[in-house]
This record gives sequence, C-alpha cells and structure tokens, in this order.
Amino acid sequence: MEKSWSRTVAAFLAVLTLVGCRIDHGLDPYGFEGIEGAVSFAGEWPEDLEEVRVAVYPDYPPADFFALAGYSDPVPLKAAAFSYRVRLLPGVYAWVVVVGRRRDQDWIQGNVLLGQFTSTPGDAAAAAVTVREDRTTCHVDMTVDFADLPDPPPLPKALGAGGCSRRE
Amino acid sequence: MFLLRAGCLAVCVGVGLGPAVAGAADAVAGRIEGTVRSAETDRPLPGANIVFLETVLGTAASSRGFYFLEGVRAGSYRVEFSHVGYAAETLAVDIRVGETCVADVSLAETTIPLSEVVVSAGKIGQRLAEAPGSVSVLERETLEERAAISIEEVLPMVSGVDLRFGQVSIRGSTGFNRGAGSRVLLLIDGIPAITGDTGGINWDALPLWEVERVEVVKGASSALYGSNALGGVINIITRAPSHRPGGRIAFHGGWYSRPRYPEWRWTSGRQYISGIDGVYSARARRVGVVMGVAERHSQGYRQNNEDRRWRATARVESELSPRLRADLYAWAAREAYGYFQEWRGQDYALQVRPDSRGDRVVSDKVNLAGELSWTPDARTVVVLRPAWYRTEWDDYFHDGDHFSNASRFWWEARVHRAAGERHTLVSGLELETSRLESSLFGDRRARGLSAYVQDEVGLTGRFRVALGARWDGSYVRDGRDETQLSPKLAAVWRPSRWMSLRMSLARGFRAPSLAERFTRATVGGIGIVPNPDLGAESVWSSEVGCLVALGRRATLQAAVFENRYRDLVQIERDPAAAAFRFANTHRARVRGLDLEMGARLADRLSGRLAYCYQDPVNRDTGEPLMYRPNHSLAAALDVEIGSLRLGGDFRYQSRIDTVAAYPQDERVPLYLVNLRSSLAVGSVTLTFRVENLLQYHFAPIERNLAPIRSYLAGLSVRL
Repeated sequence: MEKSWSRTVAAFLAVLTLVGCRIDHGLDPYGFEGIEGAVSFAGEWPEDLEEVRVAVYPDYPPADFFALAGYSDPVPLKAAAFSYRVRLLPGVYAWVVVVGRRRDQDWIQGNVLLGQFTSTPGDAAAAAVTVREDRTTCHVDMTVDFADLPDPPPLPKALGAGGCSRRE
Repeated sequence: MFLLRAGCLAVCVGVGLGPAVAGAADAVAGRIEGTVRSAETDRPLPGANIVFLETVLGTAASSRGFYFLEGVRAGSYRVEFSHVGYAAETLAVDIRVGETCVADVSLAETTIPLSEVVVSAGKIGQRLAEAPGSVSVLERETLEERAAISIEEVLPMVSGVDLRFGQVSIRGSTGFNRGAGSRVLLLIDGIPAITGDTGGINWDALPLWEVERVEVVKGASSALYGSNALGGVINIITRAPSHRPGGRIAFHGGWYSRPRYPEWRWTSGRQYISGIDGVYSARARRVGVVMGVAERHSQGYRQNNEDRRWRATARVESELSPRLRADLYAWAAREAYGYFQEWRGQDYALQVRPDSRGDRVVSDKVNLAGELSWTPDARTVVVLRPAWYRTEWDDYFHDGDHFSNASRFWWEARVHRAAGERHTLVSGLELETSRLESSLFGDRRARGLSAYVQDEVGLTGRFRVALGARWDGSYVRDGRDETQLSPKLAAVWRPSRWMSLRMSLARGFRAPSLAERFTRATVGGIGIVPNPDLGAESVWSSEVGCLVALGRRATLQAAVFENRYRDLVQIERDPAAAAFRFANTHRARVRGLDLEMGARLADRLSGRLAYCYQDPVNRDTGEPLMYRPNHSLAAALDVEIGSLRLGGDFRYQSRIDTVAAYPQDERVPLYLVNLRSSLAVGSVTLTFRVENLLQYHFAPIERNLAPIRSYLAGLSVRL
C-alpha cells in the first residue's frame, strides 16, 4: 500500500513537471495582430472634447457607431501627437478614424469625426487597411486638423452625424 | 462496523427492532445524547448528522462529536447516524419520559457518501442519494485542506461551477454580466444573500472559518427558492456553537511573484497579502454562540488593485424550551478596493488604463437574520425566519462618483410535516421588500410575495417522487409587475444501496434587479437608459443523473442536463433612445454532462475529479453564448504523511468562444496548478500554498488578467 500511494504521488509529480515544462504560459506581451501608427494634431483643440480615440470599422459607412472592430487607448487631450495600437483580427478594415466625444455626452449623441486614414495625405476618401495573421500593419498614420475636419459619412445618427464645433 | 455502547441511562435497543411509531406517545418527552466517533481511530466526528427517520427531528454533532436532542416525545424511533466518509448506521431507540437515552455510536470508514445528509435540495435534511436533483457538497475538511481564505477559491472544484471575477455560474447559467443580477441564488444558512440593488453576490461578506459545509444544488430550483435560482443554489452552512468553549486564531501572509515578463512589471517592490481571522465558540446551558472577525489586505498583483476587507459575524443559538428554538445571525463587512476596469494594453497587462487610475470603491454590508423553530410534535416543524440585508457602496471614478444604498427585508414562514410514513411535505410563504436610493438607479421600491409547497413521496422503499410548485408575484413601483409559476417534478430510484438514479424537470426564473430596470448613467461615454418594462428571464431545466459507489473507495456522481432559457436579460442598443439598456433579448440552450468523482486511492491518498462539458448556444443566432467554456476540469490529489499533508489542484478550461467586447483580443484556455501543504503540531497548524505555480496567464474577462503566481504561508492556533 505504501508503494502504491508513493508511486501515485511520484506519477503526479512527474506529470506536473512534464506539464510545467511543456506548457506555454498563456497570454504574453509579445503577440500582436493589428495596426499601429501615429496621429498628429494641428490647430487648437476644442474645449468641449472629453475623449479622443482611434477607432476601426470593417465597413464604410458603418451600420452604426458601435459596429466597430476595435479602438485604441484614449489620446491625451491637447497632445500634439499620439502613437497608437489597435488589436484586430486578420481581415480588411474599410475605415480607420480618429473620433472624439463631447463633454458630458455619450458616444452616440456626442461623437465627432476628427480624422480618417487615407491612402495619401489630403485625400477626401477613406482608405482600407489589411491585417494579416500574426502581423502588425504599421504606419497607419493620420492627421487631425481641427480647422478642417472631414465630412461625416452619409448615415443619420452614425459616426460624425452629430456635427462638430469647429474653431475658426 | 457498528458499535453501540451500552451505557444507557434509559433504554436503547439495537438495530432491527422494526419501524418506530413516532409521535404515538403523549406530550411528555425525554432526551437523547451521545457521541459519534470513528470506529477505526476513535476520533470524534464533528458535524455527524443524527436524523430521526420518518419524523422531522434531527441534530448534528459538535466539534467534539457530542450530540443531544431534547423534547423528544416518548416513544420508539429509528435514528440514523451519518457522516461523510463513513457508512451510515441506523439504531432503534426508546425514549422514555423524563429520562436521557445515551447512545454512543462508532461509524466505520468508507468512501460511500450515499447516506450523507444534505438540506438544500428540499429545504429539509435528506440523504444525498435521495435528493431530488444534483447536489455537490464541499465539507469543512475540504476547505481546511486547502487552507482557503475565501469561498471563491474552492467553488470551482465543484463540477459545473465557474467563477469569473466574482460572478458565479452553474452549468453555464450566467457567463459574465458584470455583476448585474446573479442567476445563482446564494444562501447563508438558508437565508438569501442577494443584494437589493444589483441582485448580485458580495463574496467578501461570507465567513469562511465558520463554515461547516457548502452545498451546491445544480439546475433550476425556483420551485422552492424563487427568483435567482435559475441556474442553481449555493447554500453556505455555518458551524453550530461547540459544547466546550474554544476558538481559533489564524494569520496568513504572502506575496505575489514578480511578473514573468519585464514589460508587465509595474512596480519595483513586492506586492504583499496578509490577513487575520479569529473565531470563538461557546455554549452555556441553553445558549450557544459563535463569533468571528477577519481582516484581509492585498496590495494586489495589478496596478490600482489594492484591496482591504473587514468582517465580523455572530451566530447565537438558544433553546427556549425543548420544543422552541431561536437562532440569531448577524454579520457586517466593509471592503475598500481599487477598481481595475481594464488593462492599458496586453503589453502592459498589469497596468490599468491611465484614465481610470485612482478609481476606487468602498462598500459596506450588514445582515441581520433570525430563525424561530417550533416543533409541536415529532412530525411537524414550524419555522419563522426574518432577515434584513443592507448594502451601501460609493464609487469614486474618474468620470463621476456614484452611490447606492439598498435595504432588503425578507421573511419566511415554513412548515415541514412528515405525513404518514410516505410523505414529507414542505410548504411556506415568503414576503420580500426592497428599498433603494441611488445616483444610478434612482429611488425605487419593490415588493414580492410567494407561496410554495413540495411533497416528497416514498412510493416504495426504493422509489421516491418529489412534486412541488411555487408562485411568485413581484410588484415594482414604476416598473412591470409580474407573476411566475415554477413547478418541479423529480424522481429518485435506488436499485441498490450502492446506486441512486434520478431525473428531474423544473422551471426556474429570475426577476430582473432594480439596477437592470432603472440604470440611467453614462459610463465611459456609453449612455445607459432605464427599461421599466424589463421582464423576468426563465428556464426549463431537465436532467438525468446517478450517484454510484464504485467499490468501497470511490464514488461517482454524473448527470446529463439540458437547460432551455427564454427572455435572457442582456444589455443591448435601444434604437429609440440611441443608447443602451437592459432588455429581454434572446433564447438559449445549454446542454451538457457533468461528472464528479471522489476516491480514496490508498490509506493516505485521496483524490477528487470534476469535469463538465457544456454546449451553450444562443437559439436565435446559433452562436455560442458568451463566457461559457465547453470543457472544465478540476482535479485534486492529497496525501497524508503523519501529521504532514501535501496536496495539489489542477484546473483546465477550454478557450471561451465569444465575449461581449474586444472579440479581436487574444484568448487562451486556462491551465492552473496550485500546491499546498499543512503540518499539524498539537494545537498549531502551519500551512504553505503556491497558487498558479506555473505562472500561467489567462484573462477570465476582457482585458483583466487572472492572478499571477503567489505564495502564502499561514499559522493557525486552536485555543
């Protein structure tokens, strides 16, 4: 009997050691699939902006504001530039935007379209980005000019439909 | 092996004298007392159950194995003695007027738990093998073996039970809905411990050192328990006062390991964990008391995640007369903690998002409850139970401060009646009122009225049927009033003493919490509006299962189940208001299999295995339900070497298919290994634990990493 349980314990420890050696450690900080880039801001920041982020939509125009695939950490208000990363599943994303939220309003009522990714700076049309498996799509850079904000898409109550308080 | 010591002051008759005629005697009464011990070691068996068969009488042995019962009507009875890990034995006794019958009993060790007594499946003590549904039991020994410091640590060892950052799910009932409304009913000594505002569970308020055992009833249990018992019931049963004054004081301390990856290191120092627990129990004449205090402090393994908890509990039992007993329960708790909303990024997984750094919550809870139990005769018990539960919390968040103060008053009148030799009736009335003042939910009032009845019929010696129903009416000011009828049918067949087969079909429901109906807030830029028309969600729950003794050293409990949900409450877009709200959104089906096995592999080696497979599907879309893994496995092994005990746990969960937010984030299965040891030297016990030994990183919910490896040492002194 003594041998029986000591063998069982030994087997358990052996399995544990084996599992410990072979198992990965789950999530880690290295794997990243998505897009990254920089946003630069020109002009004076409006006072009524409370939150600004980069948001990624699979479709253009999106079905609604929350039909997004991912979004970035908040941009520090009144920053001159911001580097962002957005984790995404592999696929094609039709619209990458910089979007703000007005003070004391929610994202649906108070969203403001500030900028969007275009194939060349100054283009009016949005450009799609592709994310491949286990890859980071880099240099998805955007510029926000508070004096010349892009037109919102033709969709009531969708992103940017709330208009914008521009500073002249 | 059954030993009856013939030290009777009155008359105790051996086994096999035939059925008793309970209640046949006149109103005068006698007393029975004795000690229940292990036949092998002669050690007392604390918590052993003593049940007078075919009556409602019963008691439990103290920490020294001593038991007594007064006010027993003179007559002949069959008394069953049982304890987990020991073979139950039945003794025929004669109780004589004004005399004390002394019955000392020794039970033989076995791993056949079929005679273990549970109270949660039918609101009355009954053998596990005859319970009309799946019931898993975590005994005090299991909690002590693990040197656990919270109930949350041990619950995942039960098959089909999952905990995600405090939200409990049984057989895939809940998933994770951010604390809004629990689909599992938590009871402390049978009294609901669900908050009046969010309808959730505060685990920090639960006593651990005072816990005698935890019973988990799987599947809809609204036929007896009403709202919230949609997925099942967890009943935490606290210890009765001991007959000799004594107590225990325990300290624990430890630290979190350094994060495995340099990118995740957010502080240069160690993050420490500490705590102290004290419990004292005494009995003087007819009054007994158990009191406990506890303090916990964790600096947290993550940024902005420091946590401090304080708790005080008291339980007073008094025998007002041989037929009348009054119990009082009271506990109060406070918790102050930093709120970790979500990580800054997977490359900074232990740092909170910068804008929510400094967010914190302070919460207080007070629970006062009582129980008056009157036994007019050996076949009847009348129980009155009032309870008052007050919760208060204040959030101090970067985007605004909020508060909520909720009071919940609950009252139950219940009658148990052993009608003839075949019927055991349980019926009752419940009344409930909730009052809420909150910056998020407004000033609200709600009331509920319920009535239930259940009859367990022994059709033959081996075949029992339970049939019952409960009616619930809920009235919410400015909200939707509703009534619910929750029937239940269950059958249990014991073809042999080694096996029990059962089936059940029951309806369950959950009335939405006041928070789900009336939240008006903007959280993180997302507007949430009230939905006063929100209705109850419901389920039809069915299962077929068995409890089998595999030889004398192992047992297996298995069940296949299917739960069909309707009108599940979930947050969704309200097109009219261009905001979010809680709504009855979809139908769902969860079917699966759960297995639980306990075995004594050798004299000093024991093991436990729990496995659950579930297939959770949204019946409207065909998609998997959120936060429900398909496979869950928990295994434990313990070995005793003299007074040294070593043990380990392994847990696995398959990767979750769908989540509510950030579906693009990486998700991984769970592999968790914990090791533990304890050394008992006289009245001192030393413990040492390593949690998450392999330093495996897993996010139970979006962007929230589960605890990293920690080391914890403890010292417990019995006074």
